[in-house]
Amino acid sequence: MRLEVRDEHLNGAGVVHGGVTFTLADSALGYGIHKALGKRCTTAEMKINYLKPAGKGALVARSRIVRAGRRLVVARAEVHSGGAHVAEVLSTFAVLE
Amino acid sequence: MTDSRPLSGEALASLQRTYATVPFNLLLGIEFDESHEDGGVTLRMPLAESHLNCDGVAHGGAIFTLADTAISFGIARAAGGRCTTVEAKINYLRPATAGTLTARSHVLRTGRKLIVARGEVHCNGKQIAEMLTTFAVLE
Repeated sequence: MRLEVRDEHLNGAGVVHGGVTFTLADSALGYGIHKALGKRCTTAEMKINYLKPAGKGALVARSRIVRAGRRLVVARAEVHSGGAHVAEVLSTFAVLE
Repeated sequence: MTDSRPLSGEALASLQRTYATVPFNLLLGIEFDESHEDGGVTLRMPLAESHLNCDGVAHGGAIFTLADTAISFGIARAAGGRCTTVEAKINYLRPATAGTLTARSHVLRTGRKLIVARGEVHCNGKQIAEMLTTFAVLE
């Protein structure tokens, strides 16, 4: 999943707001799980580590399923900006149906 | 830094003005609500259509951003100086569909290099999310 960073995505320090990075990763994870399993899910828990600040340009999140259980799905995501790995995410999703 | 008192008066008002101009906070409609004696703050975000996901409930990213902002505001107030989030973990407890979300921050430990803080997000009297964070002190 990809986002073109605009001015309204920045924080007071002029870099991408952590909430933007988190939201993009969460969306990539939710979409990836839905696409792979064909089931509706909701984020139950998510942990993010910010590795580097991200500036303007494309912010890209790539998700991977680590384990898909009947009730819970564990998945991770990497967020990249300008070739740099800027955030790492580990999440638990609950299967809704 | 560990012995410093939380900012109040004009220093707190100045910090409020700084947060009020952050572009992404403006986009989400995050507003200052109140400051607490322990150094934490409460921020609010009235839910609008633009905060919802495809299931019609508040998007996890919007809830996360509100909590992250309340925590960083509380840390800036308690510790002074610039900080940045290095790690954040959130548990979503319930969905929120309508009303105003509020996020309250608590600073747990202020070290020289790292600060640990938590935040609670409520909607209509119920806790909808719990967050635990590590911030790095930048200066």
